[in-house]
Amino acid sequence: MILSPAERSYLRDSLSLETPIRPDSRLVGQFRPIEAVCNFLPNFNGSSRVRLSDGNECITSVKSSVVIISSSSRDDSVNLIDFLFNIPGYRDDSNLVSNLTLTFNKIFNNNFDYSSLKLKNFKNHFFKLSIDILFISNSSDINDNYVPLTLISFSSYLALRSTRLPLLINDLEKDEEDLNIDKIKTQKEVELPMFSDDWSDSTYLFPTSPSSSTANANQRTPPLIFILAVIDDNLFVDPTIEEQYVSDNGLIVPWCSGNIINPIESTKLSRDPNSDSTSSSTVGLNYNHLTKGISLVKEVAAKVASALDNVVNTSDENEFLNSIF
Amino acid sequence: MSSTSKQNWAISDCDAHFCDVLVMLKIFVPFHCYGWSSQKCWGAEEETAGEAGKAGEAGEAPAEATMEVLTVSKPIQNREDFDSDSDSDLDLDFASPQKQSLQNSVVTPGELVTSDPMLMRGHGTYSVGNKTYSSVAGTISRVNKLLSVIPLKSRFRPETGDHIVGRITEVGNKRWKVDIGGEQNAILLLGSVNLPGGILRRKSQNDELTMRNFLKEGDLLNCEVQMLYNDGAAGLHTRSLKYGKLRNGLLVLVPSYLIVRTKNHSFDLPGNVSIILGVNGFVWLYKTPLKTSLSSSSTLKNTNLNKFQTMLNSDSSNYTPGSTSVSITRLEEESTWEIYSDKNDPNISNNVRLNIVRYKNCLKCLSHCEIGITKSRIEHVYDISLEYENSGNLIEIEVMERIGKDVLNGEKMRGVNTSKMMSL
Repeated sequence: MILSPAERSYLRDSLSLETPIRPDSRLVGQFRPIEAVCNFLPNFNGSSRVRLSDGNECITSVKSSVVIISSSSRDDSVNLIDFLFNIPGYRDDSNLVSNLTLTFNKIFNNNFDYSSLKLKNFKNHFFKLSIDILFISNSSDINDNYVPLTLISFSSYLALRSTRLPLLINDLEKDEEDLNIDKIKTQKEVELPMFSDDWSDSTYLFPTSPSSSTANANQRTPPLIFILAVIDDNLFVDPTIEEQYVSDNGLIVPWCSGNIINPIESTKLSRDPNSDSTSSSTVGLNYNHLTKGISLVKEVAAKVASALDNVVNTSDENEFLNSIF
Repeated sequence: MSSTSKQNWAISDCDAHFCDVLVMLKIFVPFHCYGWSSQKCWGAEEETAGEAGKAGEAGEAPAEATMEVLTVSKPIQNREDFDSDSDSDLDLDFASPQKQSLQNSVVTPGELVTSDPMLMRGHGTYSVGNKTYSSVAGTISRVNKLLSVIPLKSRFRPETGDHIVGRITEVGNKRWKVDIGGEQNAILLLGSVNLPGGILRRKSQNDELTMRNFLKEGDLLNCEVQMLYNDGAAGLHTRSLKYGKLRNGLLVLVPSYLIVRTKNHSFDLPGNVSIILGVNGFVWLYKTPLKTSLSSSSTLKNTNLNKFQTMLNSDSSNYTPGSTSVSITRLEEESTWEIYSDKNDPNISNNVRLNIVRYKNCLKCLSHCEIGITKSRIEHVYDISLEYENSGNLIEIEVMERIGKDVLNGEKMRGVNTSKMMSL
């Protein structure tokens, strides 16, 4: 996508005003409306589909498996969350896909509480989550610089939020047995974990507290990743492609359970092959941008999370019996 | 449902009626028959103080008037309701399959259009054996023996005389390739544009070398379809002062089938905003230019950027039209250089910018509701949208559908009592 010089300067002027005017007149902290469902794939632990009105769509599925990690090898090299991106038209080793995989793996594994993935009463058994993300776009505008990170992040949040893990039945039986015998047993013979085949017994990976409004702040949630476009002194959430093209810089701010988490990264959002040297290609970030960006994310993130949580809470088991669409 | 749709088909003989029925079906069906249930999940319920004031001031403003961070809705379910539709179609087919199929009715891809081998198969059809099937979803059109299906949705098909907006994609040999949202790029020949140095001159080789000074890749322009080539590509021209490069505004893309072809496609709208409603669905919203701007040297000073222009400007600072003998060509030169300027008007006020984005959202609203876009409808939607102080509310699906309904209802009422509705 190319903008004409007149369009570009008009957009930039509008966006760098003291009270910026976005091309679709959204507020600085307002997202485009999305259409979302979750738990619609029957064969997965969790799944979600998020659509934007511009036709971009993101389908995410979470599949769990049990892995054995001995305590000696339990270090940073072991990732219990594994992202796999599938973007039609892009090879797995393309810049776009590998950058996305790297970013998501890093953010999610650094900020995930692995204890929630540990199997109860098993020393070295963990759930490993394989998250597959399919991103469908009908525009040719995606490239290394223009990635709808917000949409992908919403989708992975919803999928993880709706993820349910099967109930372990080994330890349930053992509770009734003598504890001593139990200990000897687990030490001597390696027992295989057994799971209940009744899906209604499964538990949510991220349990929702009954009174979601009050306990929101300290509730454990999956990370959300926000991408902000920086234009002059202004920052915008959920930038459209036009906004990205006229932006000076981009800021990736991850958020989890009420806090900003690391790593906060800067990224270049605009790459116009026809842009001349004057088009702000060398503008950096300053301290103001960072504080502004962080406070903006803090302001909106909890609302975004609770809006997405509502989708999970209101999703209906039998909604997709006939058709997923 | 089946009974109402039968009625609709019954009156569909007349073309004009038929379009209305289509629009109504599209718009109202999700509301009434299928129970559009967008279960809203609001990001946050609390209002900020300013927004509360707004809601109080606009008395009937609904809850959506408060700004939300993120709206999440669920897609429409229960598609099985459409079964009742197909039942009614079947009934009609059984009644008189041959006759019915050749009338103005909607066919879907793969649907049998006719089994009469005498008819010629036109666009949008294919044949297996002697039978003709539709390859697109659309209406059947028959001209003598030629049978074709006109698709409901398609890319823009240029016709001679269309006023369109396009974007340069390629600068080639004596021509520009222009993206007009059609099946192929349109062609703008160097010979069909106004050039500085006098419009009546033959284009020289020097002009060919400096083509990028006039129009380069990415530039938006406003032009007319002059002719159609054999392969269906459009040949454009900008040989009029009302055509040329576009500045001072925003481009909005809407489906081309929503633009109603009329005599005039550029209008001034309330709020100091002008619009070029390209037939191809490219709509340009911009600040209404000053009427005197073409010959006034003060605006020229602001917009000048070109070395030629600076040269011109220096000796035309006290220029008034008609005062010198060379005025005709000089006027030509000045206006044409302004046509190719890339600089926006430096004095676009915030109000104009706000109005432009509001109009943009109004257009998006009409296109979301699949309502044909005309000047009066744009103004109507704009009036309704003023109820929302921040036009950013208009991107919410629920708001858009409500406004779309209001527009159609308003027009229905206008049909009953014209004088009363004019005041709206």
